[in-house]
Amino acid sequence: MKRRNFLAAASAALLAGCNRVAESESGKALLGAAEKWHQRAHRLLTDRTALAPEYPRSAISPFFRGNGSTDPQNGDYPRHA
Amino acid sequence: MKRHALSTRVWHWLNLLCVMVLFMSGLTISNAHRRLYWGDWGFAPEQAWLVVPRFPDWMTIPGYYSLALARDLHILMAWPFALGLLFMWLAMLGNRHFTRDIVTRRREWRPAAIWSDIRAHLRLDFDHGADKYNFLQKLAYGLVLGVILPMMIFTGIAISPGMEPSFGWLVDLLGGRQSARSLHFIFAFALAVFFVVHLILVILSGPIGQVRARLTGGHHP
Repeated sequence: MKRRNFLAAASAALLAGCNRVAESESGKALLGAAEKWHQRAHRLLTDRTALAPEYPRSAISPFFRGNGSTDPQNGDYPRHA
Repeated sequence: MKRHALSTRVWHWLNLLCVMVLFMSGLTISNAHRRLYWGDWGFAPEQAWLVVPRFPDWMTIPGYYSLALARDLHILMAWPFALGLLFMWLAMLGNRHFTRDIVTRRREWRPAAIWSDIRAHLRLDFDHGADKYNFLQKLAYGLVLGVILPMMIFTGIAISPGMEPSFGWLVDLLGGRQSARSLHFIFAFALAVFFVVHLILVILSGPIGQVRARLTGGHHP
């Protein structure tokens, strides 16, 4: 019983801790730095000006969906559609 | 000589932190699209081979739905996780921890020996004779260190859009992006199962002594 409570408390603490880190100024700076490091690693592996890989026509996905909603019923969209 | 080398201890606890954040932020990422497919593409429910349950907020990092933040945290911890594993492999091979303690011997694979080890585990008999680890331990640790953890990294690289231009061959090797994603999930949950079993066995074999030894190094019996 005690151990299960300990585990629940530990993961709750981790969750709360991560949230506080993520929402703090230094936390945001850390996440930003990690993202920049990540991008720099990408640039090391493949040059910024490298050409995109090319694929045969057969590799085109049979499904090409739009991201998000494709027929919103709110806002300005219905007026223009 | 200490029971647990410094490199082992440092890696173990750093890895625990990384894996917990990676797993819990991974649950948020999973919640963003809960269907798994095989091959290069997939989106519709009828193409899925599995629909993963929606994980409740208290299990996830952050504790609310934010794909952007979850991915930021996932990427933040992925690097120390991967570099840590690389460091651990180099250390293990260098200090012979791998060859001495984790590699299984031929005689341990005899059916009678395997069965005897399973029975000992069921009896909660943790005596492992001259070797540091018993057969099932060696198997579990070997699988985690040699297969599950590296595969998390390789499949993770294959899913990452920024890595795909450099690692197209890896995506193809894994059977396509959606296959890489399915494998990423499969290995992640295999790791979660190991984690639960590992915790249970540590708790059953005298947790205070075990954790203390894992922190300070302990003594050879």
